Amino acid sequence: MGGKPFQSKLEPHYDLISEARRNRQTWQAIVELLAANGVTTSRPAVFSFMKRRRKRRYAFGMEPDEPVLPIVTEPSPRSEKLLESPNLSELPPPPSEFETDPLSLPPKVKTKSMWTVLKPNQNS
Amino acid sequence: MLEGILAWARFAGVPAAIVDCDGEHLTLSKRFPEAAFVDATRSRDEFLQLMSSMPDSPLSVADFPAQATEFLLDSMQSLRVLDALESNGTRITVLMFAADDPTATASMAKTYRALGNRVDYIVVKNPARFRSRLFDESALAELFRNSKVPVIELPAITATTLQQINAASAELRRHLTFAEAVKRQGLHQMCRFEIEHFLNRVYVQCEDAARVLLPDPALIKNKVTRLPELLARKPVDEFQPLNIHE
Repeated sequence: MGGKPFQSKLEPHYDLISEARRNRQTWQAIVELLAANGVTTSRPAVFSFMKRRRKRRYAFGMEPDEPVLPIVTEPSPRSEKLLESPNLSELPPPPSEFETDPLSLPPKVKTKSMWTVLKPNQNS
Repeated sequence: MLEGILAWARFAGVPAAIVDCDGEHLTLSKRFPEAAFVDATRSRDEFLQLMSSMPDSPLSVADFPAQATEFLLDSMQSLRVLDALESNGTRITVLMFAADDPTATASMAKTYRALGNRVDYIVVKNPARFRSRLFDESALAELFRNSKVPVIELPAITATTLQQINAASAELRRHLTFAEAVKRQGLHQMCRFEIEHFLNRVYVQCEDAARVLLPDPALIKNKVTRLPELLARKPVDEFQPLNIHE
C-alpha cells in the first residue's frame, strides 16, 4: 500500500492564494483568480486547503525556510528622549564618595531629644 | 550623689536636664523614669550627638559609667568639647569621688591631668565607700583645698532605712527617690527622719556649691532654711565637762 502521497492541486498556487489573502481578497475572489489561471475549485476547498497548509507538520529536514521578517516596534517615549539627548563628548562623572554607601547602614539619627528636662518641684 | 543634686535642683526651683549613660547601674533612669538611657560611651558618634544636643538648661546632669573615664577624656580632647561648650557659655563640673582604691585614685588623677582648671570640681565623700584618709592626705586634695573646691559629704544612711525604701519601692513596683520616700507614711518615722536629715545635708551642701553647679547662684528660687546657731550642739568643756550653765 505504498505510493505517492496525496497532493492538492492548489499546492502550486499556495503563494498566489497567500498573496491574495494578504491583499484582503475574499475567498470567492481567489476562486475566480484561480479559475483565470486554469484551476477549477470551490470556495470551501480553497479555505480548507489554506487551513490544512497552516497546520502542516513537516518531516525532519523538509521544513520550509522561515521568512525573516523585520521586527518593528513602536518607539517608547524614553527611547525618544534618548534620541533627543545630545551626544556627550565626555563620560558622566563618577558617583560622589560622599553619597550614601549602599553597603553600610545609615547612621542612627536621633529624632527624640536625648536629654530630659526635669521641672522643679515635680516630686519633691 | 547625682540623685541628691537633682533633688536639690527640684527643691531650689532650678530646671535640670538629665540623661543616664550608665547602662550597668541605670541609677538615674530607675529613679527618674523621665530620664532616657543613652549609651553615649558606646562610640564617639553617640557621645558627640549627646554633647551637641545639650539643652539650654541652667543645670545638665549626665551619669557616665566609672570605667568610661579614658573614653570620655579622649573624646573630649579630640572633639574639643571644652572649647565648644566654652563658646556657648557652658562649663562642666566634674564630681570627684574620694576613694581609697588605686583604680579610683588613678581615674581621678587622669581626669585632673586631662581637664585641669578648665572645668570645675566637686569632691564627694561617701562614707560607705571612703574610710581611710588616703585621699585627704594626697597632694590633689591639698590642691583642691587651696582652690576652694566644694566638698559634699554624704551622710551615712542605715541599712534598715535603705531596706525600708527598697521594700516600699518593691510594693510600688518602681524605684523611689529619697525625696519621694521621705513622704511615705509606710516608712517608720525614724527612717523618714534619717532620710530627711540626709536630704537636708545634701541640700545645704549643694546650695553652698551652687557657684559651680549653676551659671549664677541667683537662679536659686527656694533657699534652704538653715538651723540657727542656737540649735547647734554646744561644745563641751574638756576640762570641766559638767560645768553647764543655761
